[in-house]
Amino acid sequence: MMRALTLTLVLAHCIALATGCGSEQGGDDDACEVTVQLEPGDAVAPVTIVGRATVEHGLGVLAYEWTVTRNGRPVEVTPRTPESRDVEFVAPEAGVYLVRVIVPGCDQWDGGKNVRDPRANENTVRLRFTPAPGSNLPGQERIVTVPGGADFAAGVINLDGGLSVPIVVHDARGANVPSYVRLTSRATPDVFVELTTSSAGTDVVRLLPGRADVLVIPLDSALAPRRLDDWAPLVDSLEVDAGTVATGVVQAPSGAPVVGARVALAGDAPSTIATTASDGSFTLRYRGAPPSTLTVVPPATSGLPRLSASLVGLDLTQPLTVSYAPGLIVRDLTGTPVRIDGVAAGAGAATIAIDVADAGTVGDGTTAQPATGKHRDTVAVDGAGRLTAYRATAAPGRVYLRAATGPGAVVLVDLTTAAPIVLDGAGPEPLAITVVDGAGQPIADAQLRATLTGDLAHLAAPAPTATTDALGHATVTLAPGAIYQLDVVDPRRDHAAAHLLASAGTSLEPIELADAIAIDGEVRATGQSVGLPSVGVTALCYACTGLDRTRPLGDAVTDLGGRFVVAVPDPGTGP
Amino acid sequence: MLVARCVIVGCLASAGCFYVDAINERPSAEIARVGDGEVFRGAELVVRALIDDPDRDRIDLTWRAQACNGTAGATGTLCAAVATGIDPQFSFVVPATVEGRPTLNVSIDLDVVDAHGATARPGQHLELPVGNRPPSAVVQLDGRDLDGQFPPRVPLTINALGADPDGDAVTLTWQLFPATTSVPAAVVFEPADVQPATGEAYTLIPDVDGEWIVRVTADDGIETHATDTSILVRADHAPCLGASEPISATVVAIAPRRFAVLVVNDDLDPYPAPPPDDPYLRTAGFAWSMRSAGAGPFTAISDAAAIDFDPAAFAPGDRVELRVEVNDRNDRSFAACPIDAPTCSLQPPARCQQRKTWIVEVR
Repeated sequence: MMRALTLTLVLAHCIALATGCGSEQGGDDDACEVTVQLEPGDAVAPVTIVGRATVEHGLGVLAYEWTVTRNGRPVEVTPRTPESRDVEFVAPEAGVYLVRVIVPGCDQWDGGKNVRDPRANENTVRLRFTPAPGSNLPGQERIVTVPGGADFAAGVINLDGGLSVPIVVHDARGANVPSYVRLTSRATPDVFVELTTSSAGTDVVRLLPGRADVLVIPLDSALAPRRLDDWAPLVDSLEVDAGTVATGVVQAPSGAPVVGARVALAGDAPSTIATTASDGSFTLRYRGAPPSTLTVVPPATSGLPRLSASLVGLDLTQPLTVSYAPGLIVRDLTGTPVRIDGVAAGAGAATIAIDVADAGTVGDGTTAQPATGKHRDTVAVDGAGRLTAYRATAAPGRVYLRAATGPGAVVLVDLTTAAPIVLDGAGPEPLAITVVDGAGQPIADAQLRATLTGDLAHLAAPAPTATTDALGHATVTLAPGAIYQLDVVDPRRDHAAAHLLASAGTSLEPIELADAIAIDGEVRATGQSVGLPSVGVTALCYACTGLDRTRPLGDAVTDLGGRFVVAVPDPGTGP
Repeated sequence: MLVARCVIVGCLASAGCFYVDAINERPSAEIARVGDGEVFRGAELVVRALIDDPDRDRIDLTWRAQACNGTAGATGTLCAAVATGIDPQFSFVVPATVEGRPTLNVSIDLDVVDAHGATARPGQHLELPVGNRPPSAVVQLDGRDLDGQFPPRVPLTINALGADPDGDAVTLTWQLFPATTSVPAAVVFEPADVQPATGEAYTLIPDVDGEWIVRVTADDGIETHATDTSILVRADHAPCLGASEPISATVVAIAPRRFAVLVVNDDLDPYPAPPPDDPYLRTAGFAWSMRSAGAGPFTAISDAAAIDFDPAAFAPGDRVELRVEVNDRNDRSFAACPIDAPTCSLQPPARCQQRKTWIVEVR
C-alpha cells in the first residue's frame, strides 16, 4: 500500500547520517529505543533508499510511522513489510532527505540522508567548532568532504570533551617556570590551546586525546624557548633550560655600537629577544637546531632600518657581528607637512614602507651574510598636520597617509637625495563595484569591506565598507595607489564570499559570487543526547595556507538545540 | 356538518321537534414566542399561534412580520415587510437593517379566520424590541517577542479586527496608554505603513520598558466596546560576547593570525548576523582598538567582526593589547569601564561581557 506522508515538520532539529538520534531516554538502559539504517550508504540520485527501523527493548506489536521530507515537502514512502518496519522511498534528486520514524509508545528517530548528484564535484572543508566560554570543551575541527549541487547534512557532530591535562613548565631543578605555552593537537593542527602558566601551582587545560606539538616560551629571558614535537600529555614533561647561547654586537654605519636594538633569532622555535647593551652587544638563547634567520630592530630614533639576514653557513658558536652598511644615510622627516589633496592631515598618521637592499651584513668572523633592511613604521601626524619625530634611511619608498577621517592617500617618496619638503597625496577615488551571481544577476545587500593590504597594511588603516543596491552596484572610496583586499559577503548566505585584490582607479570586472550550499548538523558533547548551544561554527578552507587558511568560508552559531547551518561554496556539478 | 350543528331547539308536545342551524362562534388566537431572550438582528425569531375555536372549524392563519428602524409608529420610523406565513408556526430572520438603519423593532400580526369567515378578535399583534449586541475587536501583536515581552525602540505592529455579531459596520478607534516613564515625543504610535486586507494595523515603537496599554474601541453605531491589550516592554539587554578566537587572552604571534568574535548573544543584535531582511533583528557592532601593552590610549582600528594580525607589521618583542568591544543598536557607553580593565560587563550578570582584550607578543 502506498502511503503518502504529509507531515511536513521541520526535522532538521536532529540530523544524523549514520546513527540518527532518538529522543532522550533519561539514561534508562532498558528504555525502548529506535535506530534506523538507510541504504545504500553512498546514495547517488536517482536512487531508491531502503530504510529499516530496529527497536530495542520494545514490547508488543509495534507500529512504525515514517515521514520523509525534502526541502519541506513530503516524499512518498512505500512499506516493504506489513507493519512498515522496512520501507523504501525514491530520491529522484540530490539533496538531504529528512527521515523521521515514530514508534508509538516507544521512541522517535530523526535523521538525514545525503543523496548526491552523479556528477557532483567535491570540496573538502574544515568545520571548526569553538565552544562557548565556560563550556570546558576544547575547540576542534572536523574535515568534511562536501559534494556539489545540493545541501549537505553533516549529521551529529560529537565534540570530544578532551582530557584535563596539567601543564607545568619547569627547569632542570623542578622549579616552576612561568611561560607561554601553545599546544597544537595533532588531531586538530589548526586549533591551538594557549595559556600562560603561573609561577606557582598547576595550570590545567583541556586537550584532545593524543599527542600534541608544543611551543614553550619562558617569560624569563634567561631560559630558551623550546619546541617539543609529538609531546604526550600526562606523560612527557615540559622542561626548559638556558639552551644554547648566541652572542654578538650591532654596529651602526659609522661602526659605533647601536644601543637598545632588539635582536631575535628564528628557526624551529623563536629565540629569546635581546636588547643591545651600551657597547652594542647582545646575548641570545635558543634551543634545538640552529636558528635560520636573524632580525635586528634598532631604536626608532636611530633612523636605521630593521635588518633581516639568513644565518645559513654561519657558526653561531662564534660572536656575530651585525653591521649596518657604511654608506647608509639617515634622513630626518620630523615636522614634514602631511597633506591629502593639499589639505593638512591633522591628527592622522603615516605608515612608511622603505626597503633597503644592501643594508648591512651579519658575520661570524669568517663568513658574512647580506642583510636586507626595511622600514615599516607608523608615525603620528600632529594636529597641525606635521609628522612627529621620525627618521628613516635614505632610500625610495611609499607612504600611506591618513587624516583623522577618510580613506587616506598613498605617496611615493625618495629619500635618496633629501627628505621631502612635503608629503602630499592625491585624494581618495571611488571604485565602482558590481556584484552578480553565477547567472550574471545582481546580488543586492552584498557587503563589501576593503582592507589595506601589502607593505602599507596597518591595523589602524580605515577599511571602507559599502553595500550593494538592488542592481548589485556599490562604490567604495579608496586611497589611490594603495592595494586593498576586498571581501564580499552575501549576508543571506545564498552565495559564497569572495576575496580579491583591488585598488582605486582600476576597472573592476563584476564580482561573481559562487552559489553556496548549506551544511547543517547538530553539535553535541560526546555522550550527551542534547545539543550544545552557542558553539561558534566556522567553515574553513582545507587546502589553503597562511591567512587564507584562517579566513572563514562561512560562519554560524548553534541554536538552543545545538543545530547549525553554515554556508560554503558549492563545488558544483559536472566536469 | 350541518347535521351535527343542528340541535333540538324546541320540542312541542304534540307537533314534534324543529331544528335551526347552530350559531358559529369566532375563534380566538394568541401569539406565543417560541424561545425566550432578547431578539437580535440576524437571528431567527420563531412564534406560534395558539388558537382555540369552540366550533372546531377549519382555521386559516395569516402571518405578517415587519421590521422597523425605530419604535413602530413613532415619527421618523421606517418599517419594512419582512415575511408572511400561513402555518401555525412562523419564523423569520430579523433583518440587520431597515432602510439602511439598524432594526430596532419587529412586529408580527396574526389574522385568524375560521371556515365561516369568522375572524379572531381582537387582531393579534406582537411587537418586540430588537436588541443590539455590542461589537468587539480582536487584537494581535506582531513583533520581536521575547518570552511574551517586547524590546523598547523596536517597531511593533498591532493588528485589530473589528467584529459585530449583528453584522453592523464597525469602526475602530485607537488609544495608547504608555508606560509611566515614557516620554511622548520619543514614542511612535501611528497607522502602519502597510495596512492589512481586513482590519487595521498600528505601529508602536515604545521608548521605555514597562507596561503599555493599547485600547481599541469598536463602535457599531449603536454602542461601543473597548478592548485593552497589555504590552509588556522589557529593557533591551546588553550583548554578550560568546565564542571568540583566540580563546586565551595572552598569545604569541609568530605568523599571521586571526582575532575574531565568533558569537555574540543578544536578543536583538546577535552575531553571526541574521539575514538583512529580518524585520526585527540587526547585528552586533564591533569596535576594535589597540595600543602598546599597558601604555596610553587605545587607537580604534576596525569595526569588523574579525581582524587579521600580521606580525610583520610589528617588530619582534612588541607587545600589543588588542581589544574588542561589542555593542548593540543602543550604542551603549563604555565610559564606566576602566581603560585598563581587560574585560567589562555593562550590566549583570557579570558573565555577560562586552569587552575582551588580548595581549599579543610578537615574535
